[in-house]
Amino acid sequence: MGPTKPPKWADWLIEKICPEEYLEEVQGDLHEAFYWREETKGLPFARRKFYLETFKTFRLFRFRKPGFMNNPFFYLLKNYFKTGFRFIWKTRTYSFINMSGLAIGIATAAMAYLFLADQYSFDRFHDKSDRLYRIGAQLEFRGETEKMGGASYIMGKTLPEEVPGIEMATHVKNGIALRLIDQDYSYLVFHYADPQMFQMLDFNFIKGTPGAFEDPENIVVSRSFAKTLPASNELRLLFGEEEKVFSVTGIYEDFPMTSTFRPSVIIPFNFWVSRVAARRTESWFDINMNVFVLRREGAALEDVEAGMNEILAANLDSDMASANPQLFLQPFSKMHTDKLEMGNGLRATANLQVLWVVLLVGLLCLLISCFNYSNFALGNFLSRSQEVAVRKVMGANRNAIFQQFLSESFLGTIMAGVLAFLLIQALLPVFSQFVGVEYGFRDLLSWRFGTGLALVLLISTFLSGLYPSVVLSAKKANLALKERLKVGGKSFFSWFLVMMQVSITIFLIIGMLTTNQQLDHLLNFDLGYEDENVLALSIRDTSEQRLDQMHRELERLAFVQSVSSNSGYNGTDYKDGEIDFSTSHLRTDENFIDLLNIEMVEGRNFDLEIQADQAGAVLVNETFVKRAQLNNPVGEVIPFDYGRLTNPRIIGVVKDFHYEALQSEIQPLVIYTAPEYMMQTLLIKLNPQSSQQEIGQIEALWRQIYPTRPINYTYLEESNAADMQTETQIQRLARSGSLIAILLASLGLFGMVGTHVRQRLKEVSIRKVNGATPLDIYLLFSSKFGKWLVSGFIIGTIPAIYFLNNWLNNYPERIQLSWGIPMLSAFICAAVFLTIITLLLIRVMNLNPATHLKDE
Amino acid sequence: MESVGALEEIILMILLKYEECHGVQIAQHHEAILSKAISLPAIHVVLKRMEKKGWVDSRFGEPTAKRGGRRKRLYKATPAGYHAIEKLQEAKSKLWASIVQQNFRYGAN
Repeated sequence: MGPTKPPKWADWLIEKICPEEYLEEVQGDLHEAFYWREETKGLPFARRKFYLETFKTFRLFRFRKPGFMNNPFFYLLKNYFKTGFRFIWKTRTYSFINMSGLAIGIATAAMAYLFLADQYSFDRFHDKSDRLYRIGAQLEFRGETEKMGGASYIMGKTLPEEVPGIEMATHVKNGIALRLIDQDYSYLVFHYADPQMFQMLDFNFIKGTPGAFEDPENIVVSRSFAKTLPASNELRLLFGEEEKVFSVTGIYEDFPMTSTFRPSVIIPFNFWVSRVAARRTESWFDINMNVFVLRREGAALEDVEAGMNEILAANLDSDMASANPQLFLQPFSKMHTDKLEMGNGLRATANLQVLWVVLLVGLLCLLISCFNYSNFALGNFLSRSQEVAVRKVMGANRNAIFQQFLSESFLGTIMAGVLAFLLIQALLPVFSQFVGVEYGFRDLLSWRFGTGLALVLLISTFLSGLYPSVVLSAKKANLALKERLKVGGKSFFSWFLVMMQVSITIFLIIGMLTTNQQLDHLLNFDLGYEDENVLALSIRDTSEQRLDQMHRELERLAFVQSVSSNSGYNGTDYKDGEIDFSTSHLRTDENFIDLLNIEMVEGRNFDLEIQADQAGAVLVNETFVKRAQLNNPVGEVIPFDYGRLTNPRIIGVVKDFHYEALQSEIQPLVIYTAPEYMMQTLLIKLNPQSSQQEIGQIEALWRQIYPTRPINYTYLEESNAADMQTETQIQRLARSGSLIAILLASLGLFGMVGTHVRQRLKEVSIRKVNGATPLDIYLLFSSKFGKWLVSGFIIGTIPAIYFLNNWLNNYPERIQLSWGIPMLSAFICAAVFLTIITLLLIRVMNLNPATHLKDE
Repeated sequence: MESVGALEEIILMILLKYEECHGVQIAQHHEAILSKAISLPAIHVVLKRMEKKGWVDSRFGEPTAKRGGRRKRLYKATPAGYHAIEKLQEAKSKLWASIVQQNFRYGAN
């Protein structure tokens, strides 16, 4: 061992702690003292002291001057903030109200941002997400181009081999099977995929690996699904009648909620290939699955797409040529927001309409609150024009004053930001319910939300502080010192801002009332059939005998009025010479018309007694008659060929009814009883007020007849209402948006009128002395305000009507915009605003002139 | 007049007596005079403060091996430093003189 030395790590620590300018002296002294103390008091003491004094060098920090602090601008900034704080404190009540207003605006905008950022971050969490795509196909059909998300098996097999720009690809297809848990069957949705997928997407295996992923019996599952597995790690699934046992070889972390593709069970694709007919793996346009593609780094997207289309053209059947099929690649990051006709299990669930409304409401509320703040700042800053003048006399230039007020406005925004954060935290559960996405406190601490809030704060600083700063910095010092100050209230710009607020508020209220009315219209719309007390069960069983038995048993129940099955609505082409259109068709039974109480316009319903009805009779709807240009439809034989149904005769015409969601137009429809399609839905009309107990009886019956099929039912009325989800969401957003807007605008008006009135107390006093009545005073003020409010109404109404008319055009069944809604909105606004004005004016009307004339 | 802290006073007097000193020397003198240890950072902090007030002056000295080749910083009291404690010391000694006498008398009683 060499001579003793001071402890190394403590020495290292000094270098970190001690300000650099003192380091040499301090470290040297400590070393010297170490040896001195070692000599006099021994090593342990010296060492202990060394440690202790190392930490004590922290005290030297006080003498440290970071570079930026020596900058004169820093001192200036410090001064600005100090003056700002003092001013805010001086006007604290008013400042607080005003900041709360701004906080509400910021909170609204920040929540909107949170939601939008979340929606647009979908499917971006994969490492290679910028190179990941899914194959889509585009077809032309009667002059219309349809884009579908999906590819055929052979595309996924051939394209990666032949197109150099594709690094690798995987087939992805979802399947459904029955799974037995505790004597109860339930449906399990799973995915088939190729081993390449584990290299393309970010799978995080917490247990095991997928291995080669070639053996059809070895599967991988997600962590949340793994919890439902038995100890043996086996998964038993029922495919048709055949039971398959899979063993789990790997468990991966669940994909985040912001993923369109969230598989819980993945089975090797070989399994699917081994079970289907060869034609399904050989046909080029059997688009029934997805193919994910990883673009090679450096390859241009257009080249890859062109290469794919070249290969498609070489392999295409001639009968597809008329549709001019083209392949394209949809980026992963667009899967959530860009809707395609068909998704093969991967659908865009983002609702762009809702996204837009959220964005609009958030921005408008922020705008209103910034206007408020701007007005307030202007009014108050003007009362400080003498301070500005003094600063100018002392040598501050225009720029300095500008900076001063902008930094003050920044200070206010930051404080409002803190309030907003607390507000968001309180409102988050309500907001989550609103948009149907679960948000927690965790989301507020993410970097994404942090940058969003910072952005909103920056925008509001400029929106709220820019104008007052410009006005004040432009003031001439001598004028400001000399002038009798008119504080706020008089400026054209301030009133312009109030007017804009009123128009935004009107805009949102009209929006709210219109969406309300449209939704009511849709909900109460006569569908053309009765959906009350109708239970819809999905059958998912191929046996007609069992279905017949189910019918018979159900009809025996006292509370069941009627039973009918149908195939669901399918589509096909209808060609009759020149006439060519697509029509829906439905296989059902003779009870359908009566059960739903659909009106017959002409002819008769199906009749069991008439043998010919089975194979050769159809009902059509009015739209079909119109499109097929039939003058005398009943008895007409139409060229509608579908399986065994050839040239059927029309026996009746039903009145048009909305068998699809109300948002779409009624399409032509053909109804038949010929057994061409599997029955998928069982409709049961119940007596009114049937109880849960009676539903229980139906469930028991179901279990008895379909022991391996889980029961799955909805009330038709409820599922029809569920189709209105978008509209309901928009309505709720518009409602709360307009509430916030009217609150904020009232706040702004309150401040504006308040300052204005305070400025003119003396004037009013003189008027009163000269004989003005309280009514005269009231009219004097309200006529001035009224002018701006009325302009606000007009400016808000025009774009509102324009936008809403466009929105309503999306609906075949829409309300007509009448003058009622704008009038009602104006009335609501006027009522609120006039109440505020009147409350403030009462004080002026009743003031004693003596009080305000005696000072000076 | 700026107030003088207790440690400031002692260190200033040490510097006045021993002309030029660096941190460790001050610590050693302090210990020798008051038989009480003092931490080096405390001395450093006081020295920096007094340097800012203009009571002491400093310059770099020679490096030594014990300091790991680092230079000393040598401190010296300035005339301003002398004046800062001059009056205080006179007042203190005067006060002290009287206390000793009185105490003596009380003790005698």
